[in-house]
Amino acid sequence: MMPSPAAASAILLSPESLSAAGRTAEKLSLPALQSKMKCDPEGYEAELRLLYRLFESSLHLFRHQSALRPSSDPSLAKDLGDLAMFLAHVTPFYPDKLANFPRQMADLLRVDSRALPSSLRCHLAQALILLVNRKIIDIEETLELFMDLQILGDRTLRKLAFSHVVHNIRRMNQKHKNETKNRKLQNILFLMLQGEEEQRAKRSLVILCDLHRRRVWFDDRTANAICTACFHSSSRIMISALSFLLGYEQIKEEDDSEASSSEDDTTSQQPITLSREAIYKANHKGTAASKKKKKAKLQRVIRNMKRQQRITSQSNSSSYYSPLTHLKDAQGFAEKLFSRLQRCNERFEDRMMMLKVIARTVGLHRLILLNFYPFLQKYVQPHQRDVTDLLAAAVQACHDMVPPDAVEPLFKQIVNQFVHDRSRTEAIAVGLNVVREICMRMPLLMNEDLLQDLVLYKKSHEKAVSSAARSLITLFREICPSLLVKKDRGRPVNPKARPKAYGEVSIATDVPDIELLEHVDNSMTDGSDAEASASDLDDEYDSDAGPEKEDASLEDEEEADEVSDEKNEDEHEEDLGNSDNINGEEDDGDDLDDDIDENTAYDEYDSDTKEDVDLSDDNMDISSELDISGKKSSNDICDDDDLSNHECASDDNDEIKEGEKAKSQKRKFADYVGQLNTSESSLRALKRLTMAKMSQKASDETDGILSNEDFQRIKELKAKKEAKLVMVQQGLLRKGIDSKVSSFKIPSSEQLSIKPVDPAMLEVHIKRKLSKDERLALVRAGREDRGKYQARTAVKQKKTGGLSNRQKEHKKKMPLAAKRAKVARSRQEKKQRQRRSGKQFQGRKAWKYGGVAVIRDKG
Amino acid sequence: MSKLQSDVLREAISQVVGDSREKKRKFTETVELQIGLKNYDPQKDKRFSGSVKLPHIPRPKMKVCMLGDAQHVEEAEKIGLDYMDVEGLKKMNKNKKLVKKLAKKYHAFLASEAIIKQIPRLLGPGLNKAGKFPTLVTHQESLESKVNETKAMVKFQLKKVLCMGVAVGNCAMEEKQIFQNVQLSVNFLVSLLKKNWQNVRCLYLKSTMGKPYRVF
Repeated sequence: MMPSPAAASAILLSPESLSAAGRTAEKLSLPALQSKMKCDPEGYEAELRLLYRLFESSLHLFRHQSALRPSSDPSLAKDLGDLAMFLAHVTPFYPDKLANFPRQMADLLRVDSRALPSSLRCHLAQALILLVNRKIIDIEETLELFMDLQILGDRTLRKLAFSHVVHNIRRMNQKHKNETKNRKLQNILFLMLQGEEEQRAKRSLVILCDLHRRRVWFDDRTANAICTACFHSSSRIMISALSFLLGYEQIKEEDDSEASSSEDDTTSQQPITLSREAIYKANHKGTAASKKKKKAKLQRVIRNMKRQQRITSQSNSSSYYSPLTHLKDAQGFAEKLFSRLQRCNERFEDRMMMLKVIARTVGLHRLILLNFYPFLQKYVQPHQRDVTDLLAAAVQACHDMVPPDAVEPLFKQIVNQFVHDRSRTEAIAVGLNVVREICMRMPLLMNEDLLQDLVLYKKSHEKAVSSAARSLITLFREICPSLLVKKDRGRPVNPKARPKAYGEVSIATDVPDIELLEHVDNSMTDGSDAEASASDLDDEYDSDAGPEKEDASLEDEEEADEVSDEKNEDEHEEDLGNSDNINGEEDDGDDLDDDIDENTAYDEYDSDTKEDVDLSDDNMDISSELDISGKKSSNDICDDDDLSNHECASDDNDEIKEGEKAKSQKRKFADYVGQLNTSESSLRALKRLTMAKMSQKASDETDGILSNEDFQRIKELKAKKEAKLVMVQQGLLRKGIDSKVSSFKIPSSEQLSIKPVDPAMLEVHIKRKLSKDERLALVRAGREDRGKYQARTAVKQKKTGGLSNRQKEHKKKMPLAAKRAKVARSRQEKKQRQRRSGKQFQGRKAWKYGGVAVIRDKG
Repeated sequence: MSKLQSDVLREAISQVVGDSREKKRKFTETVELQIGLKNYDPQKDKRFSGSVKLPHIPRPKMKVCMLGDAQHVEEAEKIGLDYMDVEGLKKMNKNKKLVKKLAKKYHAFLASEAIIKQIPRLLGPGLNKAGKFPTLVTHQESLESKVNETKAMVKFQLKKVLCMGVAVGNCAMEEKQIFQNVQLSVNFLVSLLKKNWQNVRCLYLKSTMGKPYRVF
């Protein structure tokens, strides 16, 4: 197989044959030779050597020629390009023979890329790209070259080089990121970006932005480099960097929609589902080929599903990413850009862009840039161009770290310029919206008089104005109702709400909303208490004996005996008149009522006190008085003497939190029994206990560390509480108005600072006056489904769908008799009609003249 | 193990305290809680921050400076607190280096109502940059309690990396106090996380010079 083609091509490609046979033969053979070389590299080494020499010599020749005559022979250039391409293709198979070739190519392109004709340049670049893609030459070495190629002013070459660089770096980072390599490449590009040469800086900026947008180089180094490009001496670079920073959110959204529209065309309409059957079929049914096809389809579907999931999760998480968040020295950035803004004399649009970026930075990082507000102030005028954008920037630059007196002049200016009776309604609406947004960020700016003035616009007939004023009311109902007049306050959640003073911080002392959890522990048992207390109602203070009875129920076996025992002991107790040392301080008779009250208050705690407590306080009574119950001696071991013991007992109790429900049932039963006896001393002891417990509880609750379930419960309870609050606000659970329930929730200052302010939000409901074109377009839109105007008859004649009945009647062939009958009938009808028409006078005062006529006839 | 076990924590605390007793240092060591997070992407997910007041002051030697008006300056003098008045602030003259020096010198600042509004004007953004913008003190509340409150406050803030450290106590404290502090700070931290305990990779407890003990 080998010798014959090798010999043939050797003949074909020998120097003599080149000159003699012409280039056509060689051209035909190059691709063929290439494929053969790939099959068997060793067999064609001789040809390779020959061709390589040929390449070198033609390169030499070409150089000479181009030195002599700038417009050199195009065919020579073409040959050179083909040869280069060929060699690039076969280089991977002869790594040692062609070791120099890549370097040679790169040098050629680097040194006299300007002199080369554009087609040759493109060919050479493609060959080099091939080499880079095959990893024969590294991107680090060629990156600079490709950047140079982009600024030659050759459109196709620029595109080629650009897409090559981007693709290569993307592919490099697809599987995993090699930080050191990325860093090297980044350094090359960063250097170019900082360089004076505008073209080059521009290209590197474009590449950096592209890679950042594609989340390949999504680190803070790149973000910072892009941000610092805003200070490039060339304004074009600055502008493109600014527009990248500003447009980030919009561009991202567009990208998403684009991707979904282009790729998800087929899938996004119907929800993608994977049936079990399809999976089974793909793996088990049919031939290998059809299974392969089905598997591929399955993979496609899975990929689509994943993408959709990703998109939805992205849109849900509402990530307002901006490269500005990565800024290392945000304050420095803002200050520097601001000073540039003040000095520069760019176009208005560009200055506007700078202004927006500054405002966003200030808002995002909560910087203090006090000069910025007076600077904005001079632009605040209703007739200013792009004033809503400007106001949005002003809003963006406000946050709670700015001292209110710095913003106040600007705020006043906005109010004075926009919101007064003479200004146009659009201006008023925008002004009110801006005031609302600023106040949401800095509530301290507002004072009572101003707010009440502004709020009066709620009566306006213009929807935009009235709704803006109303939104202002809703805001202040939340943050500071006291500034509103009473009528406007509505039913505020917290009537005493007041904005935080400047610099005031509220520090949490515990996990937020943990009190809900504690509360619910109680309220859960409260439920059982409620039942108990229902039965208690008839005799109040008996209920307090309930807990005591619990232990009776514990030892249910001997319950009957015990009840009688306790009865005895209690009676004894009463008789003895509280001589016991524990409760000695107070007089029972006086405090009885108090105790009852307090005990009802402590009811919740009652439920918490557990078996042991009850046992122990029972024991206390017993030990203090009678010491009768032999069976309780087991409990007496530790608990009889003093309160400290009880405390530790109650500690233990906390740990035993299970089995409450079971107990509550027992307890109900016990209550009935409990009604039988009364015991004040136990009540007293109980009270003391609960006091002790309360102090304990604060310091040492359960084992203190909340688990996932606890957090889940907190979350649920919080949601429940909020729902309840809203219901209360809307008039205590009125039914049927659920749709109206929309409580206004103030976003936290962090949320506000992350989100960019949308200028469109400031002009909601404002109806713009349409231009003539727009109006015409609207008119035309209504006409689209209507045909051209035609006379009614013409429309009728054109009607499709067969003949009318009348036409059919005309056409139908009838027997002669029938025809005659019809003619006769029609004649008769005609006559009748004529007769009738003479008699029936139609016209003015027919009744009068008609009558006269009849009379005349008679006469 | 879905959450921190209290007995493990107690043991770790006693070990930390015991170690520091064994080898006395020339200062009171601080007990530090180190936290490693997981399943959290600081680039994408929201970076959280929150501060909580612990029941016991973890670092009693924390330096607090009062930027006060005449009345507050007097009070501060009485309780031996470092202070600065308007004149002192004006002398800084927005000099970045001086402001930075000031910010470095103290752990926290307090300011009275009249002063706090002027601080951005007087000092520029230096204090903000250092994250030490003063806290407001009114004349109604006692300065001392406010100072203690400031000292007892710890801040959890996730930055670019998935780990944090926070001072929760010192070795001079009782073990129970340390326990309470740790308990509260862990609870608070976990409440900040999106998936609570599922976001916590590990918790370590260590004293300044001592060995770290893993508690979770």
